[in-house]
Amino acid sequence: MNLIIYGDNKIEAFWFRGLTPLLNDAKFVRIGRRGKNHPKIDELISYDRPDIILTDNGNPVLVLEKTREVPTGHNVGQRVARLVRAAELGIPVLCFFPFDAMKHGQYFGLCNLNIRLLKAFEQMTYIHGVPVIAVSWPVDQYGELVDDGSENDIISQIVHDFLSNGFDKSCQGFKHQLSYMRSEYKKRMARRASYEKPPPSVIIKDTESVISECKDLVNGLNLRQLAKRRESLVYKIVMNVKACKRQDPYTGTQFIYDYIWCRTGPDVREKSRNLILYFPKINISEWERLNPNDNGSKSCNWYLTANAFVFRDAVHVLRI
Amino acid sequence: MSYMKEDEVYIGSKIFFRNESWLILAGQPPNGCDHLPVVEVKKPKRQGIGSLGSYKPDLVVAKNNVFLLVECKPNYHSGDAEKLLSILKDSARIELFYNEIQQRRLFNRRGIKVDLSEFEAGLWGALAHSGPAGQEEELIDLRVRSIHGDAEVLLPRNADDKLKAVFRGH
Repeated sequence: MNLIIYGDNKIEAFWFRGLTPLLNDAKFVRIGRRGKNHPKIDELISYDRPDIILTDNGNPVLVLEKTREVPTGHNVGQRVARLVRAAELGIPVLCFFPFDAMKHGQYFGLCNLNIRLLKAFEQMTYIHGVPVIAVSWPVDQYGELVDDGSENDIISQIVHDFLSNGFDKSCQGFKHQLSYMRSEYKKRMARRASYEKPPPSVIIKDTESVISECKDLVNGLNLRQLAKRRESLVYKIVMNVKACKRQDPYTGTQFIYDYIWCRTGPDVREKSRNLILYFPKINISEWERLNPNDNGSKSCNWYLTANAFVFRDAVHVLRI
Repeated sequence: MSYMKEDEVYIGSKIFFRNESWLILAGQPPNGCDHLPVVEVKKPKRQGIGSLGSYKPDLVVAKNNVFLLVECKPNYHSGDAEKLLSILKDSARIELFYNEIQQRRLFNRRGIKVDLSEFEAGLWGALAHSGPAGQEEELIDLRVRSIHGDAEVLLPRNADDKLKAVFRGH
């Protein structure tokens, strides 16, 4: 093996290297700006930069994300685009974060994982044929994250199993964790069944009614191209102009909804429903000025999977 | 002269303190995630949600009821010095910081018994960097020489006996 750990800093890279003795000889290389890396790294960071990329003989073999934050509220979608890119390229993904942990400050209390993320990971795994795996950072009886080293036990076993089996995507460590994710999903869904349905910002409706509602907008009739799919998922994003030059968390969240309720195959056009992003407070000219489809910027992430944008004054069909 | 990178100063500082038997209570590494809890020194009278105006120390370490807020930079950074001094002179912020550590049970988890007044009396700021060392009036200067924890300590001119005791040998 000729292993290199790519990352933005040595803190996470050294933590990762400590997960298994098989990584003892792995070198560390900082991820550079887009266009300044090995082409296979640049390809992988084209949506966003993962925390860790492991390569063997120059080929990416694993992507890993690590965060202390429970994916809930606005946090849930923030890291998803970079994981989608790895899955699209056939690279297994490990995400290490707490499923439940104490939030501090004025609104002190236990935060729970938004389990739509587990569902999206399961769908990504199925659609791309590559494991997208969540591993829980354990907490103590008070909901505080364990930090005595034992928090790494499970993720260490998984990484060790993957490496010791020659980067086998079907290794027991992956299979076992995917099974655990499914059981967690079922268990948590039984407690909060509302998570099976879309959130209030999302409506699934007849495409014909979407077309009808938009027919008076500029290019509104272009939406008719989307009529080949009977239903559309409309994700309402209520940003005003001042706040719309941004991506997080929306561009990641769109993928969660896409994989759960729209996507049927690895190509973004393979959908059972249209994915429509609706910006009720923004005009198309303002949008194009602030969020252009520019590959050198993260704003290109807006254009990765949706079928159409609906603005206050116009419609923009991206793909059918 | 080439300086270490910020994450390298962070790692070197952490290893230095660990080797010197300090307890690492919390930390917020530059551009990354460590296993340590992240604590905030909040701003008094801050309304609403979010972290506006709050400060997250790069490292918080403790030994014999001396507590350090450590800022890590490649070279000496006057902005960090001003930031640390403004916090250390603000009793209201120190109380909020103490409460935050209590809420996270960090004193309990590390076996530390300290009340607010002792905490305030034992709280100091430290500037960790890889540039030339220079003695400060009120802050500890930690010149980090390597990622493996080699470092040189310069105590502030106003260091008290308790601070001198925990750094004896440096």
